[in-house]
Formats: sequence, C-alpha cells, structure tokens
Amino acid sequence: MKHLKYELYRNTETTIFEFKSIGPNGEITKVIIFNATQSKEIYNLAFGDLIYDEVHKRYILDDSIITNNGDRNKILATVASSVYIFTEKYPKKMVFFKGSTLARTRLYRRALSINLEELSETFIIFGSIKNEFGNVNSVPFKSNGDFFGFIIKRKEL
Amino acid sequence: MKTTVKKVLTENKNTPINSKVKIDKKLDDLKIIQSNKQEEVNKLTFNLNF
Repeated sequence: MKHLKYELYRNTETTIFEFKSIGPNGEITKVIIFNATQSKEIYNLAFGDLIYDEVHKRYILDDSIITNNGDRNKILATVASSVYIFTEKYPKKMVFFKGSTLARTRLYRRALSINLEELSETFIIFGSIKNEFGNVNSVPFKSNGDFFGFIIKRKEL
Repeated sequence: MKTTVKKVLTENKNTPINSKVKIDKKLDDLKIIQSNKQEEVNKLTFNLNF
C-alpha cells in the first residue's frame, strides 16, 4: 500500500513486530504477532496495543482498544507492510486476519478492496466463512462480501 | 555519476525487505498475553478451497 507507514521493528524470527502510533493521544506502542494455528500453513495475524499489566507483571496485546490518534490509514499501511515482510521470509505460509469486532472486519474488507489492485501484484486474497462445524472455509474475496475473516497467500514467482 | 546512481537504485531494488527492517532483540524475549478471542482463532482449523 503506497501510504505513509510507521517504522517497524521485528524479532529475529520475524513473527513479532512493533511500532509506535503518534498523534494527539500521545505515543502508543502497537504490536503485530503472527501466531501458528491448527493448520500449519496458516498464521493468524493479531494486532493491538502493547499494554504492560502492572498487577500481573506481564505484557498484554489488547486488540479492542480504540487509540484515536487520527492515523488509521497509516496504521493499516504499517500492518500491511508487516504481512509483506512476514511472507517474504515465509513464502509458503498464509496469513489469516479478522477484526476484533464486526465493524473492524468490515474496515479491513474496505481497505483490501481499495488496495486490491496493488495487493494483487504480490498476493492472492480470499475471504473466509465459518462452516457448521466451526471450521473456517476459504471463499473468493468480494468487495461487498460478508466475511468472518480474510486469508492472504503470497503468489509464487 | 549516472552509473553510480543506477547502481544504487539496483541495489535497493534487490535488497530483501527483511534486511531493511531492524531487529529489536527485546522482542525475542517478550512474552505477550493475547485476548481470549485471539486464542480462539489460534485454535481454528482451516479448509482451503484453492
């Protein structure tokens, strides 16, 4: 996505990324984690604020917070770039993601639709729906589709 | 001068993205607790129809 992005930092395995959202509400640390799922070729992208829990002395990824720094598109572009980086290192792995709310899932669908041409140079984009057994089926992506989430697969060169 | 500029552009194009992204070693040791929703997604089974 040809938008401004924040500078990303990654762990050695390229499965955790961190960046800082900067705006009227200050400097907020954001984290992106690529988690293995039950399907070994698919990784789930989790994204949210990195919060330190003083009581339990541990870090938490909070994906429900609304930061309101006015930098939504910059954040989306930054998260998208982490997908490019992760799949460059692991070209056989696919990435699944969904919003923490239905509204956010719809936001991601709109972002995918707007940037579909550019994304399609590198990736194949799928929608996904849940079947009657609670498993996730991939389906063709449509701009007006009603999806549980999305699956991104890097094209083979 | 032209030759030098061309060479730099080629090097940038061929440089893997991963080598341009800095590693923060602190992230290697970071244990992060995720939400129950994310943990549920991590347990999902996917059926790929392609």
